[in-house]
Amino acid sequence: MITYTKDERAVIWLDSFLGLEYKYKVSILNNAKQPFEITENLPKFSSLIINFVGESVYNNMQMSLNESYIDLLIKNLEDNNIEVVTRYSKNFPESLKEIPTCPIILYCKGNTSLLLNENKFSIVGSRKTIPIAIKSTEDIARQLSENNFTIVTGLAEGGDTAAIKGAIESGRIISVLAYGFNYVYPEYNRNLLKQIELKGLVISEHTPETSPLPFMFPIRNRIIAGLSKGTLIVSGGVKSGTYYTADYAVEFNRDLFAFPYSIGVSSGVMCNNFIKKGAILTESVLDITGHYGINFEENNISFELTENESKCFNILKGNELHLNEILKLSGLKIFELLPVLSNLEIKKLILKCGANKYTTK
Amino acid sequence: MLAKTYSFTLLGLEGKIIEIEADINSGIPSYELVGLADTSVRESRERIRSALKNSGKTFPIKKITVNLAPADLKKEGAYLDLAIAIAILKASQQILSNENFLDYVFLGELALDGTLRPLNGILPILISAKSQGFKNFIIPKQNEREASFIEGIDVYSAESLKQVCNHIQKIELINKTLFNKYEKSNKEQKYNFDMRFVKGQPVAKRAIEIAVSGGHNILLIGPPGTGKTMLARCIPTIMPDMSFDEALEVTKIHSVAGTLNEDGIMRIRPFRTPHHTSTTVSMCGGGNKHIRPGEISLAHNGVLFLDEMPEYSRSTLEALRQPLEDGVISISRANSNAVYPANFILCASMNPCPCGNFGSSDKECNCKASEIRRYRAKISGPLLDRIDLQVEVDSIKYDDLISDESSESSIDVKKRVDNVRKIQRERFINNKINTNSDMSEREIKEFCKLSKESEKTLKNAFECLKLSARARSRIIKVARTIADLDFSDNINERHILEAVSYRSLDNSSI
Repeated sequence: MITYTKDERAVIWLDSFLGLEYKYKVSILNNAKQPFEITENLPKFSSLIINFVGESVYNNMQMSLNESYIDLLIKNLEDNNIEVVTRYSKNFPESLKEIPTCPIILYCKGNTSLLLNENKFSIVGSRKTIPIAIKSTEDIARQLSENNFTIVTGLAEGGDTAAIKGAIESGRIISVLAYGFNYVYPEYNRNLLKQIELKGLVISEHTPETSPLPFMFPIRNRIIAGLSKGTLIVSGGVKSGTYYTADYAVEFNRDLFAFPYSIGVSSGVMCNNFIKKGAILTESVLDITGHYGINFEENNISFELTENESKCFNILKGNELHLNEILKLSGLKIFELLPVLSNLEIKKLILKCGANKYTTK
Repeated sequence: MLAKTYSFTLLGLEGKIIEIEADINSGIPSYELVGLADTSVRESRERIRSALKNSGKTFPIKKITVNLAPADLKKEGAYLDLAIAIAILKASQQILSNENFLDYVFLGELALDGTLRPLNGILPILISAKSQGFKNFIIPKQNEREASFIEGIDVYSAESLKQVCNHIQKIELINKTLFNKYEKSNKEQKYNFDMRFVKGQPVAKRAIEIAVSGGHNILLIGPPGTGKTMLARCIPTIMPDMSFDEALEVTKIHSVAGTLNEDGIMRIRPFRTPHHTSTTVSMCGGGNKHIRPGEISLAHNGVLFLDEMPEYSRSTLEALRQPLEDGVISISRANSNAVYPANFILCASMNPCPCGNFGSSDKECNCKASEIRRYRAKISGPLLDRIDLQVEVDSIKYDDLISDESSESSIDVKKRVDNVRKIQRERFINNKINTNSDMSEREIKEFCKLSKESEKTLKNAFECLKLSARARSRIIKVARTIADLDFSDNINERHILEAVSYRSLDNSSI
């Protein structure tokens, strides 16, 4: 059983009351010199609490104010492998304390030491992310996490999932949930969530019983942005939730990076908008490592390419081309071209973008 | 007096011999039909009574007992009308003939005026009867064409009961039906579609050629209005001709189902397009009393085209799995069971997502990822594994549509297909299979040896493209066909690589 300090125990106790909203909890904590003052001397705060939420909640709090109740709370959390880090804990990330709406408590599952990694970097994207962006996101997440960056992201499909998949191997991944640990959303990522719990870290500012509600996701995004020293926006349409993360990053004075998109790609409009406003245009991991002055060495694996393969590779370089166009430009027959493209794909030099389109990485 | 005749009834594709005994005694006039006769057989009494009267004979006003043996087999349909009528005529001594009728098999339904009506399933009956040693057959005139393709039997086709009576009494003989040698469809087939008219779509066209050459199943995925259906409609134009055995198999099924044309034999491979509201029974075959072949059996040796595959009911699609694997379907009902062959090429088409625009360059897809997954999940993994070629068909640009640049015509493609089919026939001469797609694991080991390099390429492909392990033998079979198209005995790296490129759903971003 982990031993929590008096302060931590007080925060755990305070957070267990679902009737108290975040702002009231913060206000109560701010009125106390030390958090444990609340548990030691609850009547001092009675007028404040009754003013906020009424007498019944206060009575409820008073009734459950005893050490064995707090022990039970901690035991329940521990039974579910949940560790608690509060704003007053030693291992609470400094970067998060800087933001105005700093969470008072983080429920954690997994490797909590990741919270103390200085180099936290968030990668977020919308649920609709085009294949090439997915692939690049995976690559960047992998390369950064291999270079001692800890990747911070959510759990949504698309951009978030790609970032997780890239970073999961190295274990340096933090996924921030917008709801309690008793829930999984999207259901599709249940297995992925389990993997992150094993290899990386999953955190949430909500008690496990909190069910996911739409408004909680943008609020959660302040933690993603707040934890990290930089944020990369990999995709986002006009009305994407990713906007909030980027906006928080700017508000908290963090670096903002974004993938560039070509004209007319609806899933990238927001990225381009942020670049216009000053976000750092990011094409590869070098743009990020370069910004932080980190020496990043790409290990170039060179392949021996046949004549046809290098011809097709050169045609595709930097373009997204339809198969018909590659056929025309290369002068190959369809049955000659398909094996060549397959082989380039296996060698991970080109990428299928769907609808018979190909591009280089 | 007692008289005996033979007739046949159908059980699935098997003809079952029925022995008909008629006995006429003096006593209170009655007509007793025994031997598990179905309603349609029982009703034969009224047809026979009128037919006899209108053919210048009389229905004996005596105690008539007709027995249908074997007694435990349920008899259905009007197959037995003629045989019962002849037995009654003989028993009442209205036919005086020394000839032993037991050489003959009588088949035909009687009309009230004594003419013979055509029957479904004459061909399978004749084939079964021939194998049981019968040589002489009397059948309705309209079934003559169908029967003429069987060698080594004497078929007499009659128009009326009167003609039959005259023939067996040797008063006026019917001419023997001449044997028709099966020839491949010699007249140029007129199709509304031709590969020549399909603009663009090089991958899809190539994939269709491979599918037809090796008998592989194919799935076309693409936004609405990109020509998936048109591509599928081109398949019949490049299908190889059928051998006599194949044609006979197909004709048997269509004869039972009653969908035979006046040509009497199926010369063109069937192309069946059941609508997506089709029920499982209509697709697989079934029925309460007489088990009819379903769409998959009617598509035997041909193509079953399922347009907008996810719209079909789940259970209907899942029911296809076992026939796709075995090439036959065995249908069991409380009263009877039947085995019908169902070796077909499955050609299916679907949109990439519910709105249809996923992956499209000019239109935006409004579907959520979960919606797309749900849509695609309608086609289960095991079913998808049985589809060897998954091809994306994409939207055509307007310029391509009006360009005059015409591609290969169906006739040229068909020549290549015919060649590859010939290679396969020679390869599998001792293996009882026809196409590469029919190969079992044992045959794959025998005919699809991979060089070390090819093996390595395949392994790489699996790791990089995250293919499902079950796809391995499918890929090898397709690679075999591609190698055949290339006139190569060995399966080389490039054949494997091309085969891998047709697994676009396995290797998709969603």
